[in-house]
Amino acid sequence: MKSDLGILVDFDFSHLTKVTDLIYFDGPLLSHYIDNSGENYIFYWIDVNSTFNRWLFFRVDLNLLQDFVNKKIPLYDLILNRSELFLYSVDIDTDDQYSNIRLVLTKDLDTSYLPSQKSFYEFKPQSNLSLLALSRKYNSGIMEFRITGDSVNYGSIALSKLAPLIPKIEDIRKDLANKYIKNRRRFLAGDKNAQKDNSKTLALDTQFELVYSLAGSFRLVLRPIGTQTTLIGEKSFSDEFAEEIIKLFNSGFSKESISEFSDKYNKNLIKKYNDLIQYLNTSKLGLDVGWCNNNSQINYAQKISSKQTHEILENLMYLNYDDIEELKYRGKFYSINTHTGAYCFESTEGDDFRSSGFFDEMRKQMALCISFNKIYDVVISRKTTEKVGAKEKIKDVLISFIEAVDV
Amino acid sequence: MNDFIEKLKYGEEIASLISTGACHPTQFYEPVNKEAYRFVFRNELDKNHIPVYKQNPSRILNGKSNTSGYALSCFCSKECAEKKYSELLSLYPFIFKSIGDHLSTGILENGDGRITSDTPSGHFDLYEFVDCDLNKKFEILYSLVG
Repeated sequence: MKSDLGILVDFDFSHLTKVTDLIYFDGPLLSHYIDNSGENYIFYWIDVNSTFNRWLFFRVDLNLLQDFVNKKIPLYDLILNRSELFLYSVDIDTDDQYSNIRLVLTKDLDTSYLPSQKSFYEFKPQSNLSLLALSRKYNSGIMEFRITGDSVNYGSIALSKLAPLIPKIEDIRKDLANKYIKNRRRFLAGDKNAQKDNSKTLALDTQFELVYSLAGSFRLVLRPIGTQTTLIGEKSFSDEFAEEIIKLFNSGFSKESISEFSDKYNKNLIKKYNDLIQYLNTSKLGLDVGWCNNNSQINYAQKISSKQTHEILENLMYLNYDDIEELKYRGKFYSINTHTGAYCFESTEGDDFRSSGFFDEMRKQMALCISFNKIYDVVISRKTTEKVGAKEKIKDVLISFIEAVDV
Repeated sequence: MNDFIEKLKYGEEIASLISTGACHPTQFYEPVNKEAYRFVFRNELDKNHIPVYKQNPSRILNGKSNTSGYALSCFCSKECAEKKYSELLSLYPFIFKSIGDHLSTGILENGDGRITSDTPSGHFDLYEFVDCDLNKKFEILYSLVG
């Protein structure tokens, strides 16, 4: 190892959280970190002896980092062409102990440590690395929505693409949370005290707050607002809820799963899921959802690439919601075809109700008796067929009409 | 979890890491006459074929988060290995002190362990079985450093 340069300093590494390993070969070689105020740091491996690995680390502007990941500038420029004129070196042993932290002026750096001037990025950032670290750091489960695809760069996304996505995700969370909380309360119904104690916890464990928006495609990192602590290995409410979210995202890959999920929850939730997938499809975006809880040792993940959104939408198309109801109205007929049995009817009760459909067989025979200037009490059997992602279809059959006597 | 983990050289450590949410490949394959290339040290043979989490010092930042730290990096062809080495050398002038300075090769068989699929750059991981010893199987070819 080369001799030490610069001056010994203190540095609080506990403020740094790993975002990802940008270069990894038999261990990290170039890693991206973020501090509590959102500043970006890079750890660059430079040397090793029998005891320590030596790293350089330095603060870097996200735009410069994006230029490096997008192969616009070499690593050489990322290290040397920063606004800060210094960086740090640190020796790290096998037990992750940091020592010999030194502040080094960039101009004093030993050039033999530096990458070549044509050191362009030819790698891919590692995925899913930081969730475990974040879960350890916050002592909490961590949920991640990773947006990939068209117009998504390392750590940035067009606002026009991100803005419509957030309310769609939140809509799904809200619907799912309401139903989950109801089910959970029903489960605890026999125990009034447990129900009371758990009401607030359930509400907080099914809501999230944004911890970071991170680079590595574009990542929204969330944690439950609740601080329910569980024993090591024990599943928390937030774990259960996260599992439901991931299951919903996974359900789209099979018609049976969508159908099961629809039976368990309701059509509004499936419609919102459809809205989200439709949006991803038209915007050419992908969405990976992940959950990691170091306390309960649980992790879930589901990836939806922009190409897979088409497959999910096709599966959703098969889901029908049929509903039959009987409607009773008072009003007038304004069109009748005695040959086909078709009719048009409108309410005279001031509610703008109109119905177009067919008489049933018995009423079709009696349709000749209907007078357009008389008022009738009718019963209509309305069948509503609704396909997810398509407009609902209504089929009316008139099953009773009687001339109104008390007009 | 994969049913062969207990047969792996570092099976206990891998199982324990998986339970904490660490990344772990979803698909493995049995190597059958699989040509493999690895980076090794010419003059420090005791450092060869040791996964990163078992090296001293280990090149780890922020703990162990991926079971591949207990696997051995391999390449499916000489060309792929040379290309990766040259990319790493242009970024890390002293990389030979960490991953080795020579190229070695050997044939992997079913009894050696389980492998991941080749990446587009020709890299795959070997999760060794207990009795696997690549020091006996691999021969050193030539230097990769200027």
